[in-house]
Amino acid sequence: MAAPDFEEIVDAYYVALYRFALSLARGEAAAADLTQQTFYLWASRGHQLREAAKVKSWLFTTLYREFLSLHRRETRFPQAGIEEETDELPAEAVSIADSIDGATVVAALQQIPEVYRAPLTLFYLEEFSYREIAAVLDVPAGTVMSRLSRGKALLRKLLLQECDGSRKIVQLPPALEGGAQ
Amino acid sequence: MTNKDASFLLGACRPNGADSRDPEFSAALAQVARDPGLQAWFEDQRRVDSAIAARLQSAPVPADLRSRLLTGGRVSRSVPWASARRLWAIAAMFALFAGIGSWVWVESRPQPGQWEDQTFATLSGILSGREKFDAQSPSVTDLQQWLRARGSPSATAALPARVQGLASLGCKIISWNGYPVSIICFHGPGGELVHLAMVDRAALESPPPEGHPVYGSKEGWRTASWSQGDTAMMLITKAPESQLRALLSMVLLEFRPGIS
Repeated sequence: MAAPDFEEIVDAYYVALYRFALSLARGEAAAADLTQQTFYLWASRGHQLREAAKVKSWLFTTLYREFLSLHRRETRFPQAGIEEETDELPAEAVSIADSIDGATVVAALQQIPEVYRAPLTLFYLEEFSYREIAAVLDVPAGTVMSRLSRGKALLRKLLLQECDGSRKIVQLPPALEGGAQ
Repeated sequence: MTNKDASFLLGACRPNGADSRDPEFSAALAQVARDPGLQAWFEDQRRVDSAIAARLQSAPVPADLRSRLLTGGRVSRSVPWASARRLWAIAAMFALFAGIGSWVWVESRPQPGQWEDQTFATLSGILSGREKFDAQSPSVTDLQQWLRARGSPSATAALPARVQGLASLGCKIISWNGYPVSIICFHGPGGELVHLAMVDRAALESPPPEGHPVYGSKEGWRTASWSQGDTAMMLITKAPESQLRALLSMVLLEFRPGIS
């Protein structure tokens, strides 16, 4: 199979990559830089990848690794149980669905610890299955499921507070910022 | 499978239905169909997930991001050019215009030792990141002044204002047979990457004709060479010939007598 054309690759993936970067990097300029760095790496090394079908995974994996390399200090992964959130979808689900906008979602995602944020963003971008997300993030599939479960609960909590009219920045419980996966 | 197991599993099922045929979820989905309580939970889950996904997927993207990615220009306005960014720009240009391949000339291959050879070798070095620009500026005029101040051909009087208004990336001076050769890299009006190489006409045994550009093509690269006054000039691009000719018409627009 012929090597993918650079412009075609940019057109196919830069929007989703930017949105993934935006949730990770917490800033438009940083997200754009991260996206740019990813395509730079593709331009300089991506030609080694001959399978067009793997381009998307390569780009998202590379972006994520670039993000991690820039944020090595955030290596403490949260240790949180997953039992409490899966069966507690709030009754206010309708209000969340009807009230949120894109900025609110991005802002809420950016408040979530990175360990949940990355799989959650990939999940909501709907570009990858949970197994593919596991490959992109280089974690077991079961871990992705756990992080999605916990991450969704956190996200909904933040969005509900936003929907309740609380415009203040929601601070996550300290316990969620430390620990190990 | 308990409802708790099912809900845990279905939490990883994308709301757009892309996973609905995944056998991994089939048992859980079957349980949803059997259990009204679980079904209500799943519908609510889907509704919220769909809303979040739709909002995230509509988050605005900077209007100029695509063009910046394609041209390799600086995206972030808050961070100055870093070496990695320059490398990115160079690599992206290489990917765009060199086709991510080996540098092979198969047509109109210049004779070894000609100034074109050295120019192409230098461009190859720049585009692959082995060499750097001597100066960088988004202004063609600034680069011309920089070249002129160093006694290198600058075509200061030759380029019309429309060409000088195009966005440039950088320039470099190389030496060929003791003569300086100037190279300016800039974007054409259509965003295409173009290199303008200039050398003293007296340096060439057979300079290109004045007023009559000579076109050439080499492995997808297109060139147009001509002389103006004391300077021999060459435009080099990977863009389609129509774009090269359009750009050339801009360059030649204000050429002095003899240019057709």
